[in-house]
Amino acid sequence: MTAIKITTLALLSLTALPGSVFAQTSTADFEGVWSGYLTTQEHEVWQLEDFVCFVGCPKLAREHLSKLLDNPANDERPLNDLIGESRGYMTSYLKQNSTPAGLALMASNNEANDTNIECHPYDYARSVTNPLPLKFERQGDVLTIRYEEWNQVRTVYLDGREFPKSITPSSMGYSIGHIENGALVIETRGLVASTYPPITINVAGGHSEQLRGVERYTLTPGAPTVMTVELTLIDPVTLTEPYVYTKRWIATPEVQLLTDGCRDIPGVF
Amino acid sequence: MKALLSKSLALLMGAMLVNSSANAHHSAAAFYQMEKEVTMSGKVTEFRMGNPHARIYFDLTAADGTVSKWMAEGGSRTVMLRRGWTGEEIKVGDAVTIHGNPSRSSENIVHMINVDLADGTTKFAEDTDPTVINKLLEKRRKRE
Repeated sequence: MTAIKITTLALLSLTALPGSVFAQTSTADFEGVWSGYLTTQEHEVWQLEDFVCFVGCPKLAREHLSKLLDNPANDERPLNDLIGESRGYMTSYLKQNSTPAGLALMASNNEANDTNIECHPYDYARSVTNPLPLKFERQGDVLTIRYEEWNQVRTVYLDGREFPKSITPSSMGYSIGHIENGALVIETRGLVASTYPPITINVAGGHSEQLRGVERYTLTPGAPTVMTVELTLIDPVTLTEPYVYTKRWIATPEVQLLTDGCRDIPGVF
Repeated sequence: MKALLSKSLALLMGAMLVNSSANAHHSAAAFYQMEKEVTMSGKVTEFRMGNPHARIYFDLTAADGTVSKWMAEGGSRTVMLRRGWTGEEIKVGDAVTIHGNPSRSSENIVHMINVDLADGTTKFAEDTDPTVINKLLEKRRKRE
């Protein structure tokens, strides 16, 4: 009996501690549907930065834009000028922190060769911060991320496994995740090389097959709960420093993911 | 089809509506003349609430009777569905009026922001609502 009491007390003390072992293994707070600015534009939680960054932004570029917006001296400047200045700031940063291969990728890629136009679904990096709703579902030790955009689906293993020694590269890669101090952390490897065009203040041109991506999702309690991701891209082929994107969503349990897709229409246009 | 916009690129174009007198963002300027507005009326030959964007194909009849074929490109399918579009609003043969921005290319493509439907109503057909963006900007500049 004494042993049972001690065990019970120990369990109670553990659950009472912030960041206890129990909280660190549960993904319950992350599960459900999350919506970004694009599909909830009227919500009061959004700031101008969320509009500009509806497809995600480099973290530094968002912070730069925030500083510009916060400065009354810029109140008479058109928003597009501030966006352009942030884009220029990020371009300079990326030029200083890219390898020659990365610089070549930046120089060669532009909006006109966006493969999205030809109905090629987004790869991993663009999917993580895409503008449409997403859903986290967990069954056992497997977390499934469903993106409305292009109906993409990812699998994240939460069972503590290591990365396989050999991974067949794919557009979404191989992902393992865990909870760390309340944050959902997902690392992804085994990706095919990809390009993505400059959008708003995103200026990177793409990544190599050596990319490692680390997503760190955190929650800010409120009505509604806000989820923020920091997506760190580590690519020795194109980058000399990790490159961090960020994006925010709000909890929208009432939202259902809709069927997306793409059909290129043959014709004269 | 290469002149058509990617989803994200077209979404950004909505962003440019916030201040059409400003220098257009490079992305928008690459395809559309966002600083210009255009209104075009025609008869629908095809309507697709598809992806990557909703498209209205229509015949434009000039004053001399010459008919040319055009395509108007609007917002993303699921965003428009959430705005109340069903895909049944426009039928072949309908007379519609497109309000938007002209293309930079020589192709007969127009960026569609609003469309006057055959029943006399007008529907917003883009993704980002410029009135919301202007409210955000105003709020920010009031330091609220």
